[in-house]
Amino acid sequence: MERLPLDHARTRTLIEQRLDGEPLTATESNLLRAHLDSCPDCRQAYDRALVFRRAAAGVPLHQPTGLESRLLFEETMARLSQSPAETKSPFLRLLLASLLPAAAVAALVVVLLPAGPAGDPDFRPSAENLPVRGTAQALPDAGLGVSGIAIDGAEYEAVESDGVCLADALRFYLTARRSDLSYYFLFGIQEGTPLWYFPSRREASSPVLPGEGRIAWKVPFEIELAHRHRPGPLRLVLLLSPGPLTVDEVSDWVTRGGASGAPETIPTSVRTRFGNSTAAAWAEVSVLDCGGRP
Amino acid sequence: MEADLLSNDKNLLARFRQGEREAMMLVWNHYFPLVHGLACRGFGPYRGFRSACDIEDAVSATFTAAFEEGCRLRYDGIIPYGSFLLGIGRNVMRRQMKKAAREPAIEPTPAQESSADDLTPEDLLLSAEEQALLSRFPGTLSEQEREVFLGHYRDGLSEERLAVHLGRTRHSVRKGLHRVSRAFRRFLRDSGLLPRGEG
Repeated sequence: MERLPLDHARTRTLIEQRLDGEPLTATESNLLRAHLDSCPDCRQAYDRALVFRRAAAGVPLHQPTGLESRLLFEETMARLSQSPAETKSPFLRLLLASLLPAAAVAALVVVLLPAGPAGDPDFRPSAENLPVRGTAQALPDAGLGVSGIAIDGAEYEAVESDGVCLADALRFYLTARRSDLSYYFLFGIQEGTPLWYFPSRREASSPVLPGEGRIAWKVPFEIELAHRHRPGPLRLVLLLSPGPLTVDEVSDWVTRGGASGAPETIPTSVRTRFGNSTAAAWAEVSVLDCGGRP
Repeated sequence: MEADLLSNDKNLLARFRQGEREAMMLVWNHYFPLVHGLACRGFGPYRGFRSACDIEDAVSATFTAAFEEGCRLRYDGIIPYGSFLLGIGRNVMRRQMKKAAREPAIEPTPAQESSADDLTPEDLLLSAEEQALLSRFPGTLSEQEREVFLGHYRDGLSEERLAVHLGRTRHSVRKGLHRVSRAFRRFLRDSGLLPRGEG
């Protein structure tokens, strides 16, 4: 098996081979990428060979051909199967394959049995009533989704990715699953300091939630991070309540450390302070200094 | 942004979460232009990658991260998957740009915003004459060879699909592909686009 670094001639041959759609072995593919990483001449040769084919196939030069897309998909899938997350031991795979479905079914039964009216053969769990992250669990009364909004207006996921650039903005999606939850209060906490979003300090008390479309309802205003925020972790807290909450009472709760413990404790802390009918959700994002603006 | 495929198709979402290859390919085909566009154009203070190699690396690394089992399961099915994917793409590419320092993470200066910037990096690799020359290649092939060439290169059909599409055996398609590849290299050499002895 070929393991030595490639010379230029062999690299050019592999380039032609790959761009013609002939499969390379994983080793050849890795060696080719390694050589291209370190050799500007071969990289330019690769780029030219690629656009030769685009021009000949009659596609715009900046647009990949169907073959390029397919090859890259195959290589990505191959890379995926080599990645650590996918390389569980055969025993572990077997164990997971045999136990997880059974556990999932058991959990689903536990959750769904009390959910449907007894003896109602027409009861169907709707997609809305099931959790969306692959496990069966009771859905909380409040939900908070967060996206980053780039300067060019593009929206991107903010929580599971590395974070949000300081130059960007935050967009929020709120979910209220109880009809009596009519008001929302959304704020951030950085280094123990509350940052009031909705309501602002001037607005002073919770805005009203719309009566309909309360699953992933998009808050109509975004929060620009450049104002008031710094690079570092940012905790976001949502409070949903039957009546309005004031900035002063929430500020008092935050100052007393109500929202600074482990995030899982926030809903309990909220109920203790604001009453059992108040629901809470939280999210944590990293604010990143990405350079450039601002 | 056009209708988001994955957040609107719960059946596909379930298959995707299970890691079904066909579903992942559908997701790839739908979102590939989006991620490719991000790698080419860049975002925020970052200019896009200029080399096709780097663009391919960025696209592949983004999908590798997005297709990991944990990440597939974490996608909530509510926000558009395109947004979710772009978030991952931005962070993957930001890391790639910082690590490799192949492209400086800077904003274009007014000098760089000259009329030459209207051209894509690909445009700069080929002169107009070379483009015109290459566009004549399909015309040098027989009808059958042309179908094989366009089906394979432009449309990305596999040998099996191409055989079904053209109503021919896989063996004959394979032979046709070899002939077309050889013809293409010969065409490049004869046109002076490929140095003698290469390819």
